[in-house]
Amino acid sequence: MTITGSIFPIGDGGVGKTALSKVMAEHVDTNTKIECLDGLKKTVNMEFEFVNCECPTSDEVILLQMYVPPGQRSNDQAEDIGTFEKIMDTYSFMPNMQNISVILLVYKLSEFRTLAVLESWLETALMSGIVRDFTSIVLIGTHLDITPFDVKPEQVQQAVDFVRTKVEDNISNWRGCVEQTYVSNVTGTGIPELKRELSELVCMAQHLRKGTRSDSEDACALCIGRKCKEVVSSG
Amino acid sequence: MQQFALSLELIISLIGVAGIIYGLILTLKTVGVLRPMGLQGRYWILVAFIGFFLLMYLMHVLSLLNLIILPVTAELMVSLVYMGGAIYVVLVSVISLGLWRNVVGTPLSDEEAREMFAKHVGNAPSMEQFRAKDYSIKCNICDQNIEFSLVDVVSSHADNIERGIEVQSGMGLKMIVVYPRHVCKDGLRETSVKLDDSYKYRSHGESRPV
Repeated sequence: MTITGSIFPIGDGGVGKTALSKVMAEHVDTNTKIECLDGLKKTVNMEFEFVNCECPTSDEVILLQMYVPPGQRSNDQAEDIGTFEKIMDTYSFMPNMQNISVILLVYKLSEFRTLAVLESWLETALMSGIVRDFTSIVLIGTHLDITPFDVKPEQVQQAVDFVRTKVEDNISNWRGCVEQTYVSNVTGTGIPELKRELSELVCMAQHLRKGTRSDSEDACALCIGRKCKEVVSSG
Repeated sequence: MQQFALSLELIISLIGVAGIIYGLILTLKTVGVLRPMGLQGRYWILVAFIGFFLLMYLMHVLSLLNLIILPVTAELMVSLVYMGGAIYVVLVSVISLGLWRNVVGTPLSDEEAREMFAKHVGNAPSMEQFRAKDYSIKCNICDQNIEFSLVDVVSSHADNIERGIEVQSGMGLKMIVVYPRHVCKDGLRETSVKLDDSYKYRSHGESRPV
């Protein structure tokens, strides 16, 4: 059986959303040279990547459908072509855009501004209705290979709390999770862990949507062990 | 003798005309440089004054050559040029003062600087922390150690605080980017220095010319 989940990375241009999706789709292990980043260009349309993950607790296959929008906002440039808002309008008809399992808030660890600006991206996501009661959110710090870091771990934790509060304030019966992780698209560090994390969150979103997510024996062995379980079951 | 005096007057006037035309070209170039930033307004007034001087000088030259008869007395014309010259000097001085204040800053008391900082950033550290030259960075061009306090940064950007102190906030977080200035090999330069919300040093970038 295959569990399919939609993943939607958002964040400013140049933070590594497209690179992340390509590395997740093509990178096998951390010792492989990552070639899919050669000639990578700025995203001006919705890009699609498909990532297959094996469920470690069952024989299910988890398919992560990555929808990568542009990182340019309509107020960033005079022409409105290829901007996030324009692309969102164009693709809003897709049913999967209304059933996003996980939203990735992507920022560069070496540039604080890209983390701060995620507040506006989160607001856009909440206003456009793509954050559903089962949608989880993951903050991803990219460029782990570039030092010094502009962002401290305690700041990331504050940001996680901020996101949780913001989503809870906006979606009354929200049962998702907020997680955070760091990756390097160049070296592949953190990518396998991220895949595993996303598989769990997709699995959890699936069960939340079907109403089978609880402390009962119906709960999935993969997602039941998540630390957000208490939040989920109390909701 | 009278012929010599006339020739001398003519030469001096022609040098004046050449100088004023060159001045006009330079001012128009400045207008071109400032136009994209919308700061050319005052320089158009200078252009108008230079045009006025040029007209007066040309009329004087033509009258020396007996090609026209001046509609006003020579004394009145000189008075007009003197008055125009005085206004021109005042205008240039005002522009120059603004420019240099922008470049090297305005002397402020520590209290005034802290007040300005608090107004811009939303809060301010204690006066002791604000005055302390606690920050030290190395310029990537001249390699010299630059020690500065927040007072130094505010004073050097008092006329344009937004350029010297940038506040980046969001996600419940805040970072302050300050631009301390120093005299480098090729003149004044400023370096971006990132401070966290408790004004502790985080990182600094490469310097840029002022």
